[in-house]
Amino acid sequence: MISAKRLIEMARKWQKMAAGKRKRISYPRHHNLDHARSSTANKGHFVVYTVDHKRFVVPLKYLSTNVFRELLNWSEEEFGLPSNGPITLPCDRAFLEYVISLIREHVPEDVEKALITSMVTCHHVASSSSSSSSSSHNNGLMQSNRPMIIY
Amino acid sequence: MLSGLMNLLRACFRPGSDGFSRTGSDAGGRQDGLLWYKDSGQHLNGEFSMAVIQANNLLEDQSQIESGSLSSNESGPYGTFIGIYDGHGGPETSRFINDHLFHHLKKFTSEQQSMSVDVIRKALQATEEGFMSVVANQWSMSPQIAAVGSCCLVGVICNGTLYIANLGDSRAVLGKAIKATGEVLAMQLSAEHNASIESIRQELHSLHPDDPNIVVLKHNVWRVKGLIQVSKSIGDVYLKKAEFNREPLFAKFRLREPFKMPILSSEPSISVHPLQPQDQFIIFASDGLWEHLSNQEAVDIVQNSPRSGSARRLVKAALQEAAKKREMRYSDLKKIDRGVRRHFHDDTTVIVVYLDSNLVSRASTAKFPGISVRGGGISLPHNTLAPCTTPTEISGT
Repeated sequence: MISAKRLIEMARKWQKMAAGKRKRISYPRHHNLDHARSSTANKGHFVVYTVDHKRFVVPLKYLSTNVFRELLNWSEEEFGLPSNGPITLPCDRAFLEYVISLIREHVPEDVEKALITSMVTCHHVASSSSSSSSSSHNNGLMQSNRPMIIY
Repeated sequence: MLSGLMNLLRACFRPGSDGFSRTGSDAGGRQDGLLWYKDSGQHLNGEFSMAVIQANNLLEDQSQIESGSLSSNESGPYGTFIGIYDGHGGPETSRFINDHLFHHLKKFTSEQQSMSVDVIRKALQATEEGFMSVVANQWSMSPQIAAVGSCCLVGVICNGTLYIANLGDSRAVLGKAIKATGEVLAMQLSAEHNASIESIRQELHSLHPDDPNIVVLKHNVWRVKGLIQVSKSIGDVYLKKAEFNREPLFAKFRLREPFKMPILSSEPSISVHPLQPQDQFIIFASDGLWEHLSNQEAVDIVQNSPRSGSARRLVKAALQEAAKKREMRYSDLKKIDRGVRRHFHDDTTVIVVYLDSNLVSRASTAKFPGISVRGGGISLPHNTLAPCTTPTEISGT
């Protein structure tokens, strides 16, 4: 098992790298915002929303990663399976961008496991206290209300 | 068993057969990825079409159509039996129903020498009791079995009469031709037991007057005790017998306060419909279909397409709708693996039973050999199939 201190170090490192690459990993979609909500994802992609209403268009292959599967299970526990609309993940945009950056960098298995563990821990802390999970992760790199697409 | 093997071998060696890895064919049906289908078959009273799409890692929907003698001896009565079993919490209960209900029905039909509401009720009761004893036996080793259950929709066509029995939220819909207009109208035949229906919530409140939390709105969905959407089922023993609502069952399934009377009921709703010449077909399906298609939409699809493959067309229409709701392409939805696929749609089973009016009251099987078909799914290698699948808890809890 990886120590918490080492985990935080790694997380900082990855977050820094992710921040540096954010401009390259997520692109605002080039069409009218009016259509963004209801439009169909491009070929080979699926759609998830974050709790702060950001739309992510993600390659299907991400569904085979443990982190994404865990996020989906977490979403089911938190919100149930949506019967009439898209999937919402119980995290905000910054967190999902970070997760995606980790997957893109093919992080070692132990880091992935540590991330899942920390997700689960956070999840339980979050669901045991009913306080709002709003956070101000807006670092100005992305324009808000624009859907994002990941390649 | 042997004949199944022979069919498989025959399919593999037939010239030009598509015996590749995930596509197989046999007398029962064909498997194409997560889709299983039997486009066309003959039952005593007409044709049928059947299709199943799997989303869960282990298929929780089970289904069957049996036609021929409905009693243990060959003297009849004769007819057709249709069963749709939509499991939850695991596949054990729905599989158990698939293995036992029809045998119970045949036994009670022989005893009473006719088909009746009473025969169907007794067969369902015997199945429920049989599963309860399985839970009692496995409880110490696999307590999770107490939290597995299944909806159960049954149709029996016998001597010009259609019987519909239901527990849960699967649904049977009749396509009825209106002579004056030439339209085919949808008529729902089954009563549903889902807490999303107001009358079901009222019924629960009147059955449990001392419990204000008998139904709870959770994630925008009404659930009995905040746990389950259906109010009637086979299994779910943890909500029927207090002795199974305790450790070692996972805490998330246990109720804080002990209960005296069962929270879920196993008493089916049974209705009887004399069949008429204008009754064209019946669509039996699990809620995976009805979540995406209205009764009339489904009837229109069946009415406006060839009989062969009509069940598969209904499944496709539901998946296209599911893909639209998830804002993705249908062609991409189909690529998602079982397991993670449950986040995109539910296991879905459809059986379309056509009623050929000159065969409906047919009482002999002079030229009918009898059929027995079960809806399929991906079967796993033996070593990955635990006797009782225990859902893994998220690590770190």
